[in-house]
Amino acid sequence: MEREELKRIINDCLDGKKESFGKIVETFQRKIFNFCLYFLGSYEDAEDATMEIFLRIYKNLSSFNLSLDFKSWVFTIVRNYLRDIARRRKLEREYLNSQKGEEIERKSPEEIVIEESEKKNLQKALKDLPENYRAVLIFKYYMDLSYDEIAKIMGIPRNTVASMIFRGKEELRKILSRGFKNEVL
Amino acid sequence: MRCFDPVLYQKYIDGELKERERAKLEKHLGDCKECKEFVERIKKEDIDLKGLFKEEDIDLTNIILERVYDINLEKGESKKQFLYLIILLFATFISSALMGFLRSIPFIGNLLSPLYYIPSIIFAILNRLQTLDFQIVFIRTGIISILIFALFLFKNLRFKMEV
Repeated sequence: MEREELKRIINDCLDGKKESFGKIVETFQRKIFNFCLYFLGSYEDAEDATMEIFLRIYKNLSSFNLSLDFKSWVFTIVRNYLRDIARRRKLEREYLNSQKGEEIERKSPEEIVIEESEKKNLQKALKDLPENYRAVLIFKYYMDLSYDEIAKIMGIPRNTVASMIFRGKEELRKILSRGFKNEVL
Repeated sequence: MRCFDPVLYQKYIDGELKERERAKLEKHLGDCKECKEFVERIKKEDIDLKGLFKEEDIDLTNIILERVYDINLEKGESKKQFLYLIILLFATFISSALMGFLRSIPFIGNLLSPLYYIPSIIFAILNRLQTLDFQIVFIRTGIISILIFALFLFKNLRFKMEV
């Protein structure tokens, strides 16, 4: 998205011409939705999260500094939102586990039926990864971002990115071989 | 057993090594069969992993825009806040000047000194009614009141010292 166009859209939104925001939605919704889908593992949750994220983007538009990279700014919002959700879910899971004393797998009844079993397995395996590894792997292998971009969005040193990718893949491999007996990696 | 930290191989595959490091590693890969195989394995894994991320299509534009219509952006709010602040400053100034004038009247003036605070408090309450953030308004009003009070105190002290 061009800087001038972005400036115009932001000004339009601030002046109350909210339909201009549609252009931002059209540009980013596919990437954000799929990111959420891989991060959260359920179609329904991903849809809700995408909408909430766009509302956050809209509310914070006036604070965006035009000298910065808009895509990185957008995905920092995505990352922060999903991290909050992951923390909340972890707490919920810990609470439920402590109540029942056994592992409970969270499954939403509306979970979408996806044809490719590999994709489904990947979604499930990603869900079991620690959230920072999960985010790094999605940024790297789905979004195809560079180390610099990932470091900026995640707020981590550039040197840490490579080790997180490597360790994340190791973890993912373990989960896939242990949980699904399906060697995808 | 690899000859280097495995993370280094990941950086190499992702093209994130510096020129000198890359050349050094490439030279090593030419000599070490084990490391070369390891690199090939990571490369294949990465390609497989990338291939697993398939995109779902989605169109939430209308739903999002509908929800956005209920939100008023900050620019409007900050304009309003700025206007209130100007009114607040002006009103505090006028009322303090009035208080200063009343203080100069013999006998009445001595009774008025605690009233320096009152106009500011009233404006803070009025601003509260305008659904502004009470704390911000109160702090701003408080600072203005303290400054005005300090100014009068300073003037009075100097006057007494001169006498």
